[in-house]
Amino acid sequence: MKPRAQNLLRSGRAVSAVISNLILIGAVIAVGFTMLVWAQSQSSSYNNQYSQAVSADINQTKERIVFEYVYYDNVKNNLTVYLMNSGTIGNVNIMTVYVNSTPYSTINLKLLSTGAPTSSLGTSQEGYFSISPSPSLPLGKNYWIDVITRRGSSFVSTFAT
Amino acid sequence: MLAPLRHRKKRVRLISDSKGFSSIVGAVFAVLVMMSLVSTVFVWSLSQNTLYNNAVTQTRQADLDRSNENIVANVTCLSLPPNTVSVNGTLENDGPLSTQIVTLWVIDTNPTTHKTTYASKSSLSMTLKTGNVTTLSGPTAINVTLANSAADSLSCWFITGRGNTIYQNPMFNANITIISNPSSTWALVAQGIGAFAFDFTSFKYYNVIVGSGSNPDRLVYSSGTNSYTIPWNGYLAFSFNLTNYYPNKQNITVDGTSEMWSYFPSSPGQANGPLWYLSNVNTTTGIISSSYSPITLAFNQTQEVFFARQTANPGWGVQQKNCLGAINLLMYGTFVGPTSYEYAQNIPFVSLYAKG
Repeated sequence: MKPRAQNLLRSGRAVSAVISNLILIGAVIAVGFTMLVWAQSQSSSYNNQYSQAVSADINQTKERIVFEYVYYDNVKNNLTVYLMNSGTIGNVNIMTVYVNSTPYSTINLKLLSTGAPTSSLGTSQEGYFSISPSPSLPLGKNYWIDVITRRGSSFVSTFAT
Repeated sequence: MLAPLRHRKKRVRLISDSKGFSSIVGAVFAVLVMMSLVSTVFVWSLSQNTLYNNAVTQTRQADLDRSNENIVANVTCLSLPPNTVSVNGTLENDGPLSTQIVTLWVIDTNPTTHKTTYASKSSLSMTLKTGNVTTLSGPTAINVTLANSAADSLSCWFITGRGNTIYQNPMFNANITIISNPSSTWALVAQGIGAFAFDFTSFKYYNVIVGSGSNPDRLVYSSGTNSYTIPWNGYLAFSFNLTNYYPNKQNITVDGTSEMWSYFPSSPGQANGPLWYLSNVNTTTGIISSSYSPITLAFNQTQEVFFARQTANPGWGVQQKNCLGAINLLMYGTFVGPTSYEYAQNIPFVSLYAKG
């Protein structure tokens, strides 16, 4: 073994091969770790996005709104809609209301119990809002009303004038 | 013999070739890294999907519970004019789950104007266990404040905690009964008592400010007291609601001789008490007209009438202090129409305690 090791040390070609291998291994490890870190950050970002999407879907699934009463006052041209949050999640905001495909986005929601303005309905809370349909709704006809929440749920009911 | 030798040479060459070996190690390393990343993401995705599935399962269970609710509302809306609707009857839970009743809605439609008004009473918090029957009657009846009159059409529905709407059993809609078969109700009233029905809850008395000179007598309408205990002396006036239920649906014009008279049987001498005549009262100013303009009570119309022209002087109370008196109405008038037949009715209606 001794003459062989001496030969290896004396041989310039063998040393250069070892060094080149070390450089190659270092480069591979550096690139590998870079790739690993990048992949993990990408994976983490994907996890966050997916987590948010799943959470939003879950929250949307839990939303339920029931229409307690819809009343149209043709003299005042005032449509009052009484709702209850019957779902298992609170903080239900109403973004848009469609009356026969006409959108209304200014919704002044109030609590049924106190009449106090509120931005959202908690679990089992009842509330109401009024809108002035434009044009006014002719009497003796049926209409549908679609309430869209901030989470994207849609709840439809019908009423007669 | 040649094949084993060839394989052995290949193995020796593979082991002795460091370049080939490092690439295998690198590949294994890469595969491990990829597998760890993929499996982490996979397991995490699985947990997220489990969360979603649990939420969907719970929501579907809630929807299923909601659809399984079965409440029978055998209730009647009783009109208590002018401002109360009383919901009486039973609520029966025929479903497999306990149910909470949270809100009651009542709507009132005036048959003449077709105007609809409504009111709700929330936070009822009535829990109905499976198979239980809850009775709404007397103190447990649900009263809702809603302006109404006797002829109005009333209906109601309940909202449960799960968001179901429980409509009133149509067979128990008292107003439908009255409207669909009015003659029986009117006949019961008219044949038993007479055309005019008296509303006990609307009975009020007023202290009259006696005028002098050109100042007429007047009462303070807003100070009317809903009580059957009245002062034993002084000038008084009375008001209450009468409804014309005459079966032939005719309007009746009431004559100014119609009077309200009192009799105090336990008082010494048992003489008749004072009389009050049917009067025209301006409810804004309270002025009692000294003359009388005929009042017409339209069919099925509830109207507040005043008996404010008192005949006796304030000393009338001497004999009836601290005792009960019977009060009767003597109504006289004519039916509105070409023939103008007479109509007359004696209504024994309230007793009053003259407190000294």
